[in-house]
Amino acid sequence: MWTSVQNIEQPATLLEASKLNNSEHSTLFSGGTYLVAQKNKSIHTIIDINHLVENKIEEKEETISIGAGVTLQQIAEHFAKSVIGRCAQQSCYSKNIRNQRTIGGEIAQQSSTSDINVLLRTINVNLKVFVEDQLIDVSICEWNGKGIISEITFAKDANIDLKRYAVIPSAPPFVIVGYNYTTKNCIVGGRTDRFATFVVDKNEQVDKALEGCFTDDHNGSIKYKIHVVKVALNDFTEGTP
Amino acid sequence: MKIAFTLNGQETKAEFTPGETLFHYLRSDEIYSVKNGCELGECGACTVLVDNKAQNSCLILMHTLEGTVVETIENLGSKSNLHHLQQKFIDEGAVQCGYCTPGMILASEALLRESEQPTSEQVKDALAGNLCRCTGYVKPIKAVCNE
Repeated sequence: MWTSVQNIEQPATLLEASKLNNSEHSTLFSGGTYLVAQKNKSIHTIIDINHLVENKIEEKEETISIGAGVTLQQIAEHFAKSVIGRCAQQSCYSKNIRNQRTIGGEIAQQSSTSDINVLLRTINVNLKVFVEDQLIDVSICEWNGKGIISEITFAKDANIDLKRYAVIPSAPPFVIVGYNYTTKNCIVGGRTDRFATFVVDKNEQVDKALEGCFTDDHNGSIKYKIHVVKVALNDFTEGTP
Repeated sequence: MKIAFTLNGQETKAEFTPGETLFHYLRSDEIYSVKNGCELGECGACTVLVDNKAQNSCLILMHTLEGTVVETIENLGSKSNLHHLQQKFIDEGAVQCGYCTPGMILASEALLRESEQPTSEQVKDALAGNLCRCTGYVKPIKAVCNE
């Protein structure tokens, strides 16, 4: 029971939804798995956009587009044989939750322990975001978190891989390293204070890019975690993509 | 607020307050097989089937269920007429305290509706969101795999 909620809006358009979401006491609501679990007491109005976002995956000749309402389980099944499907599955150990959690909501939450968030940043997917009264295109790495995500698009031939380090496979990973073989761009997530982004060149750059990113905790020291990132990068760059 | 949906095969008109979850609605409707575990989506004790997919009822707000088909374990079998999965769980000794069992059976049933002969990996994945702290997972997985 989310007791603070007094009102549920089901707007007819994204424009209406955008206008309604104008206070700190309101929130956009897609799959809702994060929001209902948190039950933030300051939220009085839920703006349900489930019916406004696409829940289909479309593969065209060179691109793939995923509606923001597609669930993680749909992605895990559709891309079962690729790293995208694996990441969607590992982002949430529970199939029950994957059946409900949407990719739009997952991106909007910006959780750095989510494998799929790190992977989408590694690809640097394009987001179609409804901001105020217009639909804009913005890359995920440049998105400021404002607006309503309606679609995710990326090139079919994205040459990427990801490694995750967790105490057990179902636990949230403390380090996730995504690597783009084409751009040599690396994204680091996990139990970090942000997504670290850098181009892989020399190890000194890794140290600089990860400065302040990790903390010492039960998973290991900062030094250990940076070492783990370097090991992953070594595997990516030494191995054949 | 009001919605119409199908609950265990019955057309149902539900009346609820805006922040009410399906879990609370079902318990107040005396459907006690839906257990209260964490209310955070972590344990799967409150698993139900929504349009044949296993979901945690504690994370589902009632207003999202308009037109859906919701099933709890009461829809699968009864004491006098056990569902084949319930019988299999008994046969394999996959039940101890039983608190997680309705959720486990519903998650397994959802998988079996998708795929008649799932691999053990698929079974493990389907049950990963259902925590058990007494029986463990070996026997439930065996019960579903031998189904």
